[in-house]
Amino acid sequence: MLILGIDSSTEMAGISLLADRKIIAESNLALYRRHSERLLPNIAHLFQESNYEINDIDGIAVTLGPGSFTGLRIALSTVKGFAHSLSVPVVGLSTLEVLAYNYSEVQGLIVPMIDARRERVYTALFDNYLKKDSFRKKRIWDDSTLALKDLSEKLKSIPSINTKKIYFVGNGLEEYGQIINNFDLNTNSANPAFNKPRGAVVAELGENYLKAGISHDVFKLKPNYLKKPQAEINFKKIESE
Amino acid sequence: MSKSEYIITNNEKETKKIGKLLGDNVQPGQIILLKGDLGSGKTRFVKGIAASLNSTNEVSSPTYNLINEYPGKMTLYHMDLYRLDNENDLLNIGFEDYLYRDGIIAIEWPELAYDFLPADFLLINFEIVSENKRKLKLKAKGEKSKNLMKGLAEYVDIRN
Repeated sequence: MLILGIDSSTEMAGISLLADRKIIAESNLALYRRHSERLLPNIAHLFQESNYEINDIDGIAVTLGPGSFTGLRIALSTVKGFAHSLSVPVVGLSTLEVLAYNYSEVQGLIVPMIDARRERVYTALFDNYLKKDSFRKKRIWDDSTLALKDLSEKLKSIPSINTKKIYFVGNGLEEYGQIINNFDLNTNSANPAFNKPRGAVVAELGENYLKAGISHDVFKLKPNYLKKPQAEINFKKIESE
Repeated sequence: MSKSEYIITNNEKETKKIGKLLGDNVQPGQIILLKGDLGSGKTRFVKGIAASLNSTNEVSSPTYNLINEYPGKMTLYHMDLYRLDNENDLLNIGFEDYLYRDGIIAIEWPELAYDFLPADFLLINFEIVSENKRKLKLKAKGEKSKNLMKGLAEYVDIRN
């Protein structure tokens, strides 16, 4: 089974080809806002160098966010084009699940976090203490946007949280490492290389879904663009002053 | 929030000049909200900001494009939300992504964006006093915007 994995939901552009769970090719580049120029040429390059053709793929895995609005749109429209012309199944994944999947075998609570700027993160929670047959079923919180102080409170409200190890992973950690260390929880951090969503992980997780018989109607897939909470501003008052 | 302060301009040229002085003092990431009727000088003011930032492209009203980008010393993003119907439309043009770039963001008809804005912005209300004369009421919220007001006050007569 040949899977193409694509992620451009953060500053990184991750693409990969995975054949029966073996990495054939992978590219992870910090492109920031150049996703639109580089995504297709980079995919073409991956195929050229690996001696596969785009027609060879059996499925596509793509991240749906949360993340950068523009990046999400670019990846998803590219995938829609491929899926339509190649008639292959598509799996849409949460970028947070992709990050957390790096730690799917670790005993602990996994908190993936993507920087949503101004001390807010896109985040979720996975509980590896649960003995479930798939990582997907260990999800406790849906993807949401939280201010870091609210995330800290929310974690502390979990029963017997002090007996549990918490693993934070994602680019939110690069930005807010200091704040997170001060959470006063049993905090563990990911190795830096795990803090970015990676193309091969997207492809591997996608293959898990496809093998479990899960795929999505590509034309109904939408980017999961989460609204960021803002300080409430009383504009009526400001304007009447 | 201080109570509102204002600047009087006697013609289009002066309105543009105030925009230019503001551009001279602006820091990356500044959000400027421009309110006022058609013909009250909002786009003229943005032309002044663009001139200060050495943008090479001619500034025109973004009513139909929604967002115009002007590369320069800092990139100027000039938006006009007049044609948008609801907040979903706003999200669907990628509005929030623009807020966190290191450019200058000038937004005409900003009401639809109120729920998405960070708590640091300069709000300017353009009032038509007579055929050519305009009253620009300024309100700064947040540290960055208050500093911008202070910088501007060194060059312009801002009245209370």
